[in-house]
Parts: sequence; C-alpha cells; structure tokens
Amino acid sequence: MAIEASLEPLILVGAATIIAFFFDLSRHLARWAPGFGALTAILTAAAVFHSRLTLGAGFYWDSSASVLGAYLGLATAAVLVFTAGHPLARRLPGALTGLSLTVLLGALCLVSSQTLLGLFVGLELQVLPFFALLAWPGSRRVALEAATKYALLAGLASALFGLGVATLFLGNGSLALIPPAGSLLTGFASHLGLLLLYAALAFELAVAPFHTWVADIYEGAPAPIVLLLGAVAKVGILGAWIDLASVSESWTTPLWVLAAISMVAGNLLALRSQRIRRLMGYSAVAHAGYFLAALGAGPLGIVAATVYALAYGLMHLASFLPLAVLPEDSHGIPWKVLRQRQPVLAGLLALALLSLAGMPPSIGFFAKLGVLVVAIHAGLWPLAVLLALMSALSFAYYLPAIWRADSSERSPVLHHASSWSYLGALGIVVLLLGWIGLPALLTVL
Amino acid sequence: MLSALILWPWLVALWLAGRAQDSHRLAVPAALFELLLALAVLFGADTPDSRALHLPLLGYLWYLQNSSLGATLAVTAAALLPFALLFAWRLEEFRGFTIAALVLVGALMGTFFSQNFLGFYLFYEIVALSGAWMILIGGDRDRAAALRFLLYTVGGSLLLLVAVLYLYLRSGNTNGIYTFSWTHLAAAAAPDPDLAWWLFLAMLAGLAVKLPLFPLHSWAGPAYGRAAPPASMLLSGAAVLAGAYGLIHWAIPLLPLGALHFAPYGILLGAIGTLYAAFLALDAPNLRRFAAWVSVSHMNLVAIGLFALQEQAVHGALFLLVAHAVLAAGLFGVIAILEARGLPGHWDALGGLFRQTPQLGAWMLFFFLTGMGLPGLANFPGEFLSLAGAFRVSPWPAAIAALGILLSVVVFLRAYERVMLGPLNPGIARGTGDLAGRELALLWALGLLCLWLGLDPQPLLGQFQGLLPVHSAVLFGGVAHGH
Repeated sequence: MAIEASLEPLILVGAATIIAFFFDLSRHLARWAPGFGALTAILTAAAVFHSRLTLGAGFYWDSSASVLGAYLGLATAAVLVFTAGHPLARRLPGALTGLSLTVLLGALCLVSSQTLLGLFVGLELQVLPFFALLAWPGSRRVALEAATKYALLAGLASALFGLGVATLFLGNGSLALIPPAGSLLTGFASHLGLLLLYAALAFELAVAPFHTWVADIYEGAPAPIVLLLGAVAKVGILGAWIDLASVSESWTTPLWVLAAISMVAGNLLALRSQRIRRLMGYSAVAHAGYFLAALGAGPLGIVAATVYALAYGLMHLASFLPLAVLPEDSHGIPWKVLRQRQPVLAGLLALALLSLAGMPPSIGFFAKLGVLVVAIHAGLWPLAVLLALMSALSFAYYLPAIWRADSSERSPVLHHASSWSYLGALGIVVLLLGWIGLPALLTVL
Repeated sequence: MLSALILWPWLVALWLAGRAQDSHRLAVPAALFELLLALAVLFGADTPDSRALHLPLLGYLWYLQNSSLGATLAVTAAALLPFALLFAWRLEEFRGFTIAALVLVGALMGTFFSQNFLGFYLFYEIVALSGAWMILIGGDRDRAAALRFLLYTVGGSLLLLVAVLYLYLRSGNTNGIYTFSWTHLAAAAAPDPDLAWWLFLAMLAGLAVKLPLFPLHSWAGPAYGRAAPPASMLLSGAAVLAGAYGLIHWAIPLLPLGALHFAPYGILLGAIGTLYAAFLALDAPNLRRFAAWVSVSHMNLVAIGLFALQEQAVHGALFLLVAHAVLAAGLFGVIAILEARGLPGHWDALGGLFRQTPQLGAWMLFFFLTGMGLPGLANFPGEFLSLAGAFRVSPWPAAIAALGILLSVVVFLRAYERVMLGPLNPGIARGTGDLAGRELALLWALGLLCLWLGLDPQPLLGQFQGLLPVHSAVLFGGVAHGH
C-alpha cells in the first residue's frame, strides 16, 4: 500500500517519537536523545517542504501550512539543541525528547489538517505532553502549580473544542473543514460551533478574555518548556486558527472583536507587570491580538497572519532562549552579568525585545506592517489605529525592560553551554535580516 | 556617495562599540569627514542615486536621491556633530554619547535622502531610538524623559505610517504597482477632502511631534532639559530637521488638499506655540529648561512659515531651521561650558558671573541676542521672512507670533540678568575660570557662522530657490487663502 505524500512528515515524526523514548534505557545512549530529536525535526522540516502543496484525504499542506510546518520543524530542532545543554535535560532526556516531538506532531496536525477530527487529535497531541513537561523532574514547586493550572485550562479547552466539533457536525452533517455541501457556515448551529472552536483556541492561545492563566504559567514553568510552549505549541494553534478562518472568510466579526480586546488587555496588563516573565506572558496576549487583527481582515489577511505567526514564533524563541539561561527565579534581567558571560545572548535578547515592540528594521516591524496593510485594505480603520497606538504603547514596557538596571545585589549563576552562542548568533541574523526573505516567502504563498 | 553619508558614521559607531580606547582619538576626525562628505554632496556635480534592496511590493527600500533641500539640511546636521562632540569632550559618558550621536546623524542623513517612504520611516525610527538612548545615558539619566520622548515620537510616527499605508494601497489599487516610492505615492489620486483632512492630521502627528508643534510639545521640556547639553544640542538642532523635512517633503506634497485645509489651523497652532513656549521659558526653573523652551518657541515659528504655504514664508522657515541649529549649538554650548565649571544652571546658584568670566559673558550675550532675532545675526532673516510671509496669508495669528518674539526678548534679557549681572552669587567659587582655548575656538566658530548667516543670507536662501518647483509649496502660490 502506498503512503500518501501528505502523511510523510507526520509518519516520520511519529516513528521518531516512539524511538526517542527508548533512549532512556541506557545512560550512554540517553545523552544523544536531544540530538536525535533535533535531527529528526530538521528532517521533518525537509519532509514538509518536500510534500508542500500535496492534498491528501485528511491533510493538505497548502502554502501557509507548509511554511508554518517547516518553521515548526526547525523551531523544535532549535529548542532541542538548546535544551540539550540545559540542566533540565539531565533527568530522562529520552522522554523529554519524545514528548517534545509529540508536541511537534500535534502542531503539524493542527496546521495541516483538513478535518475537524484531525484538528482535535492535533490539539490533544500537543496539549497532553505539557502536563508532564511543565512539571518536569528538577523544576521548582511553582512549576507543579503551573502544570496543574495548565491541565485544568487545557481540559476545559478540549471540552469546548469537542463541543464545537459536535455542534458543527450537527449543523453541516460533515466533519470536513470544507464540507461537500459547500460552505462551513450554513446556519445557526455551524456559527455556534465555530464560536466554540474559537473559544477553545482562544484559551490555548491566551487571547483576552481567556488569558488569565498565561502569566502564571510563563512565570512558573521551567524556561525551556515555555520556549517550547510558545515557539511550537502556540504557533501550531495559530496555524489551526488560520485553517479555520480561511474556510469561514465571510464571518470575521468575532475575530476582530477578539483582536481588539486582546490588544488592549495584553498591553495594559504588560505595562503593569514588574517581572520579566509575567511581562512576556501578557505581551504574548497582545501579540495574539495583532495576529487576530490580521485574520479579521479577510482573504488577504491569511497571508499576513501566516507571516505574523512565523515572526511571532521566531521572536518568542529569540526572547526566551536568553531568558532560559538565567536562574528560574530571577525577576529582572541581570544585564551586566549577561553581557559579560553571554554577550551574544544578551544582544539577542535586546534585539528580540525591540523586535517584539515593532522597532524597524527587525522582523517584528515587517510582520506588523503586513497586519496594518491588510487591516487598512479591508477598511478596518479603527482596528488599524488601535493597533498603531497599542504598539506604540508597547514600547513603554519593552524598552524599560532593556534599560532597567537589575536591582538584586547578588550576581546570579548563569547556565552555560558552548552551543548556545551559535544559536544566539543565528537568532540575531534571523531577526535582523529575516525580513529580506519575507517577500520571497510571500511569492511562495 | 549618498550611502557613504549614512554608512560612514554607522561604521565608526560600530568600531567604537568594539574598541573603547579609540573614542577620543577617532570621534572628531570622523565627524569632520562626515561634514566633508555632506559638503561634497551639496556642492558636487549631480550625485547618482543609490539603489539597493529591491523588495517586491515595497520597492527599493534603500533608495537615496539627492536634492538641494536634503543636502542643505544634511550639511547642517553634519556641521552640528563635531560641535556636539567637542562640547561633550569632558563628559564621562563620552564614548556612549559618541556612538549614539553617530548613529543619530547617520540615520538623519537617511531621512533627508530617502526616496522610499518605508526607508524614510526606518531611518526616522532609528533617529527616535538613538535620541532616547542619548537622553538616557547622559545628563540626569532621566528614564521617564527618555521614554516620554520615545512614546510621543513612536506613537505619532505609527499614525503617520497608517496614513501613508492608505495612500500606498490607493496608488497600488489604481495602477497595480505597489511601491512606497515618493513619485508613486505623490501620483496617487487625491482622496476626498474629509479623508484627506484626517490623513493629514495623522501624518502631522508623526512629523510635527518632532518639531514639536504646539499641542504635541510636552515631551520637549523634560527631554531637552534633562539630557546632557551636547545631547540636547543634537536633539533640538539636528533631530528636528527630520520632522520639518518630513512635513515639507512628504506630508504636504502627498496630501496637498489636506495641507491646504489644515494651513490656517497650522499657522494658528504655531502662533500659539510660539507665544506659549516663550511663557514657559520665562517660567523655567533652570538654564537648561529655559534653552529647551526657547528652542520650542523658535520651532513653532518654523511651523508658521511652513504652513503659510507661501514661497517667502517657506524660505524663511527653512532658513530659520538652519539658523536655529547654529543657535542651539551656541545656547547649549554655553550651558555645557557652565556645567563643566560645576554650575548646574539653577537660577539660585547663578548670578554676577560677568565679572568672573567676562569672555563667557560676552559670548552668552551674543547668542542671546541671536536668539532674540537681532538684525545682522543668524535668526533674523528667517524670523522676518516667515513672519512676513505668514502675515500676508493670515495676519492675526502672525500678530500673535510677533508678540511671542517680543516676549522672547524679555525672556532672554531676564535670563541673562539672572546669570551674568548683579552681585556675584556667594555659591560660586572665586576662581571660576574664563573660557579656555578649545571652548573659545568653538564659540568663535559658532559666532562667525551666526554672523555669516545673518549678514549674508543669500547663499543659503539661494539653495532653497531650486527646490520649490519640486516641493509643492509654490504649487499653491497662496492662491487659496489671502492674496
């Protein structure tokens, strides 16, 4: 029996996931587990690229799915390379790798699925590993609290998602994203179902008003896991959201309403938070808002949203990679120490914060520019002006994070691994010059 | 050639970031070379455009085009740089200041020559960021002032971006070519008057905030007043050029209708700003704030000239921009010299300095007289022309502005009295030295520039002659209002 080309990347990751768990059998072997995982993830990216624009029975690697899929593979590889040098990976590295690859598998399902059931499976695949990952052995007590909160919220989100799938099935009589009858939105039941799906995704993505969990988890969970959560899992959710929005382009009102609430709430909350991790959590709420603003702008918005999802993932990687070097309980950024011991990562962090604020010529600015263009194109003036004002406001917390002197007396002990400088240098290049590649990406899309 | 104007200071800044020990040796020669480059661009035979980084849907991002207005302002900014560096010579943060100043001037050059709006915007934001950086590392290291400066500029410029994006989409939708090139944006069909009004207001929010025009001025006091004097010199003398240039090169030609509708309000705002800032200067708690508000008052006068949309007034406003850069160097230079002698500039701690330091007193008087607009000194031709032009368009606001100039005479004289005249303040050490060699040379250079601009304004005004057919102020000819 021939295997559909669209399934190749998924099968590759799935097989590697199972193998990865067996690395823990021997201590000598276990050291190589993250490397194996990273290699698989890179191969997956290549496989996604290879099977781009192939349409299968349940999965379709359309242009946005293949761009995001390739990114997801590479991002997972970067996270695994980073985690290999982190103290967190001393316990059960094989299982850690296996669970990370499971998250990747779920994210790939989410970005490429053409059926509601596929989306549901993808969601579960990437949510369940986090129950264990967030409270990984060796992390602090608060991590346990974070994991519990995440479990509660993810359970709720899954329930909502299941309910939404059922309601949509009630309305359309089909589980396909593009039902045989023609449109996803046929009546009241399908509208309600879509709203339920949006609510579930909004929980997972921390879109206001479903955002209250995000700061606790960003602050409590071990940093390498937050890295994975933001750079892979959340981008997977963004991909699912793109899938859903691209089949319901006639009804964008809920999207831009959520976008407006999320931008305002995220920025105001971030402005008030003192600790860097909480700040990053709330700023992620604001960024989800910018992303939804692009989606709310209709067909052209899909492209801008894909670019934004990509840029958001990259910026999250670039900001949390250096933050993961710091001790888990640090409130501010000890710039002096960071600059001395890890100059490349310090540069990367400063650049990432500027990029998140939307300072040109970083990739974050061009992503926001795309959102502004599509919003104005769709005639959503209030949203465009709100976006402009809110991203100006975001300078008011990102920049103090850069120039605030660290108040703590003690000089913290930083984690160290030789490979991190290379990752950091790569990140700087991508953030600073990545936008040159964006137009080429747009022509692919 | 044009690219070198931007890249040279940036490369030097990068070099200094890596090698700390070179900063004193390298800074001033580098700045002089930059000035030389700018002069070569101004007077050289036609400089070829430099184009790079063509991106689909955006056009050439790095597209620099020479124009006589841009080149004149570039020379002004480049001329200010060595003065600022030399006045900052003794500061402990000299290296950081040099790096920020070089980045700022490089980005300014970019704003003057960019033919692509997105390029202009990128450079404009870099100017804002390096300006905030400069406020942050020197002087009182006031984070709130730096943040306020940055928030005003960035918030305004994002609104500017929104307005230009609309024009970009409009021009792209009509002819199918999506690019941020000036020629394409200016060729886009004019939006209907109501929309044009809002779009122009949005562009104004981004550009006039840099001047700063009247209701947007509240960042200027803390920013200029809390930064180190050499930093304020660059911010109030050079960074404002970007805002004024943006108004005349981008906002007015892209939205002529909006500009025409806004012009009467613009003149009125400028007039109120001139008077109001003069009052603020009268009320200033120290010498730095005083200089800051005086500078804002002059810039509102520039705005009057620009919004008069009339040849004479626009010439006057541009002349005043250049003259004000020299004046800012003089004012903040004198303040820097006082601070180097341990006199932080509070009125209570000053007084009767003239007998201790007669030469400094004389130079201070010279620059104060320039600031008052004494005929024969740099500010006079600019103030006179822009007021005269505005008067023909709308007399009443121009009369208010004239009141502001009268008030500024009082302001300057009162400040001079507080610093120099009367009995010697007991808090000042007896041995406070007069001007030394380098300081004297710097003030002489600035003074000669002031005299040259004031006595022979024609060469500079001649530079502006050629530009008006391109920049559309003549296009209106003042037809729609007055005359």
